[in-house]
Amino acid sequence: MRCNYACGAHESLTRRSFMGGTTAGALSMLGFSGMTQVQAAKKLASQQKQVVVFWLSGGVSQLETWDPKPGTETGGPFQAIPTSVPGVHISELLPHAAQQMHHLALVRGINTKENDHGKGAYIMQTGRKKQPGFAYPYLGSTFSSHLAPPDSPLPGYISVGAGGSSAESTFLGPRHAPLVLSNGKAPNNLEMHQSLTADRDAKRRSLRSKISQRFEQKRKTAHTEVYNESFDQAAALMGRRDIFDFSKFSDKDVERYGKHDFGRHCLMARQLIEKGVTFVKVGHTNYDTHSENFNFHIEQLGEFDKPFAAFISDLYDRGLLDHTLIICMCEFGRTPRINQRIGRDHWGTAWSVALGGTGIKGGAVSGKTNETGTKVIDREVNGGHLFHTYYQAVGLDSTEEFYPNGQPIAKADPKTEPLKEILA
Amino acid sequence: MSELSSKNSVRVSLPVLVLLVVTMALPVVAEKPKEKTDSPAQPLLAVKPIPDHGPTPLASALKFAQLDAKKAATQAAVQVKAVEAISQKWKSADDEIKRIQKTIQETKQNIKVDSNSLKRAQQARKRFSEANAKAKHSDEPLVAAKPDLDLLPNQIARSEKQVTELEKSLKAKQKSLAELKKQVSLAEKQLGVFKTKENQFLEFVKLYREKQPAADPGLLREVASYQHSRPLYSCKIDGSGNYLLAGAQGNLFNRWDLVSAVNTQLAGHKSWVRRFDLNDSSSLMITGAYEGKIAWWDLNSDQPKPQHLIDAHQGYVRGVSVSPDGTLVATAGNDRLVKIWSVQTAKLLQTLEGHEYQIYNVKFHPGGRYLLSGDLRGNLKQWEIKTGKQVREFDGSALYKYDKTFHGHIGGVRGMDISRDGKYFAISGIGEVSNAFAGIGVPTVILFDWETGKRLAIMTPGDNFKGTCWGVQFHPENDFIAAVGGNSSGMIWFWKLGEEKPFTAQKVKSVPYDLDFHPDGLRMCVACYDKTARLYSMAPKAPFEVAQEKAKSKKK
Repeated sequence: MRCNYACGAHESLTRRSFMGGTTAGALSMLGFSGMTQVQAAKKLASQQKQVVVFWLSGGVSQLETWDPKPGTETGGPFQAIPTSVPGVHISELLPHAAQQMHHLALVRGINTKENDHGKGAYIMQTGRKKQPGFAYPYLGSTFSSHLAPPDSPLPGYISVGAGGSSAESTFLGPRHAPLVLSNGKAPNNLEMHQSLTADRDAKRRSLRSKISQRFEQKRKTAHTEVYNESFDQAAALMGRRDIFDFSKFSDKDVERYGKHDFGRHCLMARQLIEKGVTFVKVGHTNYDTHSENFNFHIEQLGEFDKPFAAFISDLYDRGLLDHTLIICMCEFGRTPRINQRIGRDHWGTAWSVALGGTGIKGGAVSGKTNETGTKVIDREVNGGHLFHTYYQAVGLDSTEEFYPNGQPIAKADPKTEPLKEILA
Repeated sequence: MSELSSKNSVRVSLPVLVLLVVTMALPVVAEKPKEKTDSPAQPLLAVKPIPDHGPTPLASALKFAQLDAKKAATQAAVQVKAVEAISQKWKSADDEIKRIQKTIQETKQNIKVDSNSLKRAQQARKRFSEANAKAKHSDEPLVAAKPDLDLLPNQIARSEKQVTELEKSLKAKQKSLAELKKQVSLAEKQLGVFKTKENQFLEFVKLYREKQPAADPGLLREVASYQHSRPLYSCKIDGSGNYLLAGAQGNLFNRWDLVSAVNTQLAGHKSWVRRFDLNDSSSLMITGAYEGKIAWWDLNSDQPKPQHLIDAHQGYVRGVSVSPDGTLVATAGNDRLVKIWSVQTAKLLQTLEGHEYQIYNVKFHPGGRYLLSGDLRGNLKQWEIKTGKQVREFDGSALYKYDKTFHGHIGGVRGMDISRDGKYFAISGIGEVSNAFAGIGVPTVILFDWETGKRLAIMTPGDNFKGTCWGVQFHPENDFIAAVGGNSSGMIWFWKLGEEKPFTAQKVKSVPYDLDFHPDGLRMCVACYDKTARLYSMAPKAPFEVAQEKAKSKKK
């Protein structure tokens, strides 16, 4: 699929400042009250299920990652290598990930029929095709609403180097919109202002609360509740600012993860998961390789592979993988055909994602493409199947419904089903 | 480059002479090692004018035309024998068919005769039966026709079976005959091609005998093409002028006979061959592939196999160069190392460290003392072979960009060549990138002066063409440089040394990734994305070509 070379759509969604997000969250109408199965969510929250998405923006090539076809016309110059799971081979560009394959499952039969960056990203993050007049919540917001403890001071959805928009939470409300750590930095203004003392701050908060209470006696609305909640949340977040202290990674860790943005972002994600954040999205960009696909993939995957593998290994060593779902995905794959610029173009017809961690059967492979990777020949699935699978992997019932404004909305596409073959 | 002719030297002005004298007085290598040349932002300090000798007569062209004519004649002679052999087979098959047809006819005739006999015997028997009935009332003895009645039906059945079998056999033979007929026709057609080629080469021989030809890129025309099953990625013509060699985006390497276009595929590598080199004084070829291995081949073998297949680099091998004396081979790759190997023993002799980024090209200087390497960021390093030490650095960073929008490093020394006299070197790639992920930039060649290390010119297309200049090469005799490249379409450009815009250019049917001049200096090959290697000619047009053009224009 030819790309309009302005192809920057996958980048354009991503610039939302933290303060904008939290303010929007604070002002939310929380118009989804009663739409979830509260008891179930609470139960799950107590089980501490967490999710990490590695978002490879631009569309990583399945042939250079999870579904190599060495020696074929479409295979490119790279070889396939064995992994820690006998019989499962992946690209030689992922030698470290190959050693973690027993923690990962591959879905090689994805056909989303979508070659546009924005639409592809929407399908993969909502499990549905875009429909006019209705917006489904994104994965991060969904799991924030389902899995994050309601009284947690922590944001339910944090995006590290992957951008995000307040629109992602849709009817779930801005409380579940992403908190975006722009450029991988901690949010601003977490520290108390230098001119304030703790005592003075407490007095200010008390005064604000009293004024608010007086106001509410006459004009109590959903808005006023949210205002109050936002101040409480902000105070709670300031109380837990330790989760954003990214200055204490050991030299050894920095060495293991790599001295680049993505390595640091992975370390940040590890810390956020350790501190109990429900959903973390880590971005790694620049896979939209219409030209020089192989050189760019050497460079990009060379950066991605080691920290990604170290992240999985660390979560396993720390016992976090038992309750953390890992998803490595993007908006689409890349064409098997190698173009005249030695590039690969957009390809939603036959591509792959990798999953791991809680609820996932390590080493499992679902789906198969033909010899040259141009077609799914076994177990063709789409974003809907994947959404059901994510839900079930963290112990949620994917067949339940949301009730925004009292209207039932299926949580995952009812025409699809979970990939039981990769579920533990 | 040729020496200045006395005629031309008269035209050299006084300032030029002064400049030349100053230039010649400079040391062979710069005094200060590891000092980079001026940055692209500074104005070029050209050592101008670069001598332009005009069209140089190519003495060896006649030899190669004669070689081609001889090869075509030999191939035609072989083909004549092949045609005769197939024709003989066809004749034998035809005779056999005729014999079978005759047997069938005779057998059918026999069946007819036997049938008639049987009929008669049956009638006789009938008569006998009737007579026998009468004879019951008579004392005369009767003789029956019994033997005929018993034997003939069996004989007829046998004959009919024989006919069926013969007819079946006839059908198979006729099919075989038709196939042979096709083969004869094809062989005759091929013979016609060889004879035509022979005649065409003879026309060139005659033409070159009358006057030594000169290469004229203005006359550039495609004269032959060679097909593979994958996009072709690298190419060269061997020193003997026998083969067109090409690496591909696949594991198989190609050797085509230039005249007959017969292809031999060389198996050994497990990835793409982007670079290889030849030893002009022997039949040795050394290839480097993206799986990190280098291989030694004997080009003259009927079916070449790797004589050595060595793990040379971690990751892509991107550069391979055989030393002028044929004793060393230098390789370079994504592991940022330059390695020097013994051609004879295939043992590693030296590893040169210093590049910080992937090395895209390496080349021996014709003087044999130095080696030049270039990397992703356009950093060029001159190494002294004997000591393995870096002597100088040159700035080719105009061929590199970090695209801030796409966060991608784009560029590299995609093509590199040193003029045969060692006075100049050129690198090629993509400059002024506006979109790294779409490969949008200006195809660029940078020309350097070897002696001073100064950049003489940045050469780009004359129009707004965008893409990458994948390969560059100095003409072996003339004062021009050729380069190939493209993005969605392909081009060949020709610049005079030191000039920034090409004096001629031609569209190619597909994007070419590499080029090489034929040792005759009149022809050149390109390796293209559309799985085709193309042979172009810059020679004066032969009478048959002129006639073809006339016929074509008449048709229009």
